[in-house]
Amino acid sequence: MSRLLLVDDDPKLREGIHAGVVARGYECDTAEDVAEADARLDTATAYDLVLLDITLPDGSGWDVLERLRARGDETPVIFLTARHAPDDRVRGLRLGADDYVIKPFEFEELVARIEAVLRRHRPPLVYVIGDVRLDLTARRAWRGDLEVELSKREFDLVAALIEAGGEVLSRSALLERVWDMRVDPGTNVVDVVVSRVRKKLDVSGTHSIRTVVGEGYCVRAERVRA
Amino acid sequence: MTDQGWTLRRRTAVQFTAVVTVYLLVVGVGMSLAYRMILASELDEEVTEQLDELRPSFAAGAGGPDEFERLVAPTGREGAETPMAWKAHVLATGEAWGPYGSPRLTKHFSTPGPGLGETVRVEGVLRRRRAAFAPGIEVDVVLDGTDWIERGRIADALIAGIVVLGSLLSLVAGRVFGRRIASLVKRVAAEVEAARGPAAETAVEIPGAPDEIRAVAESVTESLRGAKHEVERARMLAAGLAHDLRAPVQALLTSTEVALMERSGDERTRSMLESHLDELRVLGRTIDNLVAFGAPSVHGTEETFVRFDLARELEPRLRSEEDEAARRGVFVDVLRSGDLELVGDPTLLVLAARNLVGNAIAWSPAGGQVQIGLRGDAESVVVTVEDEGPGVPEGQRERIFEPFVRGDAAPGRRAGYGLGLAIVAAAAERHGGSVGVGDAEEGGAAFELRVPRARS
Repeated sequence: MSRLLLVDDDPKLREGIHAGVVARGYECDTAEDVAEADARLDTATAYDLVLLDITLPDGSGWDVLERLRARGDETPVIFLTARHAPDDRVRGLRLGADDYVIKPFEFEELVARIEAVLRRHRPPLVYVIGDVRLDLTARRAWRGDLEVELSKREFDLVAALIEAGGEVLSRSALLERVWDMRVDPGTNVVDVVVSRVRKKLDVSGTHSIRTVVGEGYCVRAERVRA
Repeated sequence: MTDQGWTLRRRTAVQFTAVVTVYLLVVGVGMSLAYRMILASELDEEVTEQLDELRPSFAAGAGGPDEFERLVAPTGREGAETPMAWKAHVLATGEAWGPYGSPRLTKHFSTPGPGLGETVRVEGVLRRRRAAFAPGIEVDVVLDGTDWIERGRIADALIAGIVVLGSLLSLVAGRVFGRRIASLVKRVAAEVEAARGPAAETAVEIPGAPDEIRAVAESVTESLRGAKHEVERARMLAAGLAHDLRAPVQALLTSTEVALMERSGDERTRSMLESHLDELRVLGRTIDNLVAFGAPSVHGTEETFVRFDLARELEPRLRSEEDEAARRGVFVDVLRSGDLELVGDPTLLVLAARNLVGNAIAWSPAGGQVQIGLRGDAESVVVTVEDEGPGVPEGQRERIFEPFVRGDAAPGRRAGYGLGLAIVAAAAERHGGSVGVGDAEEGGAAFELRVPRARS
């Protein structure tokens, strides 16, 4: 369960984002100005990520970020800026922010950025199937020493099967987990993507994805230290 | 300008030549008439002079008819410049000497002559005078000025020659003149054309042009500046409105998304919310496009270029497109390869890519696949978007990138506002790249947006 700190002075936006991220399963504290943000960050509560507005009533988000980094606190920070200026982008990243979102943004974009930043800060999650190695955190795959370029959905599919821990997933379960589709439009896209993954990963005889006739697919992977 | 039409150059040349020729003709005829008048009055003088020349010789000699005949005989010979006929009247005796001279002239003595000391003109070229010659002797003279007047003809020919030569010269001068005017006007047109460009300073400068041409250029510039200002105002207004609309639409989008996330409510409410979300997203993208279209960054007057990774910027922002695809049963996949870092305007490029993806999803049948390719090669980063929709007919493949050209509506959707693909084209142009559409392998449309890694 990741814990977020949201610093923004706009109560409507704060409320909306708070409700959204909580619905997505995050814990979320909020702060409305620099003083409250500093106070929350100074306590023993460890945050996994800070969403930081730049323009605050009693100061600037830059200062909060600077003090945080000066203390040696490497908590990832995504700053929210209403300004379009490329200077903000550069300044924020130089001060050690991990990403930025330009207001107004779509909520889904914010969630995607939160997930991406959290993933980058998580330790690598590496699985091995035969001579194939997959890092679910960095979303990269290798066959031997050679990196394999998997498309977004190809990787999502393998990752979903790995995360199922060797259990069989039906086509409709895969449709929902990989493509977020609750209704099968009646195509064989799942089979097509499975065969594309096999073509890329099973070059030297590895059986990455196994077919369970009449049920679906499964992967037997072994977690290893990175 | 073609050589076939009634061009400014030709018109100027012809008019110039015609005016010069008419002028030369009038002057020529006038000069000819004046010269003839001068010749005629000189001829009047000539009679008197001839008389004055002979009078002293006669007075010095013996006098009498023989002496008179001897003196006047040379003047009467045919072939003289002005042949003369003479007749003398001795007043005391009423005796007459002569007539001497050619019968052609002497025949005139049969008519009554002018009074003493008078000269009359006879048949135009003849002069008849009666004058005192010696004491008690008066003479009657007829002088033939035919050859004299002939000199007038030579002058006429000369003048005619000058007129012809002059109008030929004016033809040449007219052509040169016409070409100069035409080239000035062409320069005005070229300058005005150049000043129409969005980046150029709106000031038409034509060094060395005459005041009138400069005045024309200035007034054209003035109205151009006015029109440009109006267009700029309209664009700013549209962008400003769009900007103001963005915040409320944003709030609606977020609250609808959050409401759907809570997974509460019955199926009917959910599907209504989902359709709201769909509409709001279309509205949101249209607003984004309007803002981008009005933003100075599209038109290249603001420095917004930074170094960034296209996949890192684009992928989080494709979430709502992917959501929409999931609801419509369209399979979206992204394959990236190579180095995707480039120097450019991230907002503009992400919007361009989202427009391509949004279009592809809208045109896809349920169960169709949309393949997004992000590929980095040595010089460029290439975004390809392929779908399994109906594709773009050959004849429309350039037109669809023009602003406000509305394509057909995708199935079950309203036609767009003609801005989406125009933004893609503007983004390509702004980055010195290119965009095009062809056929995908599966028969749908295949768009390719190519952006150089760094502006050259």
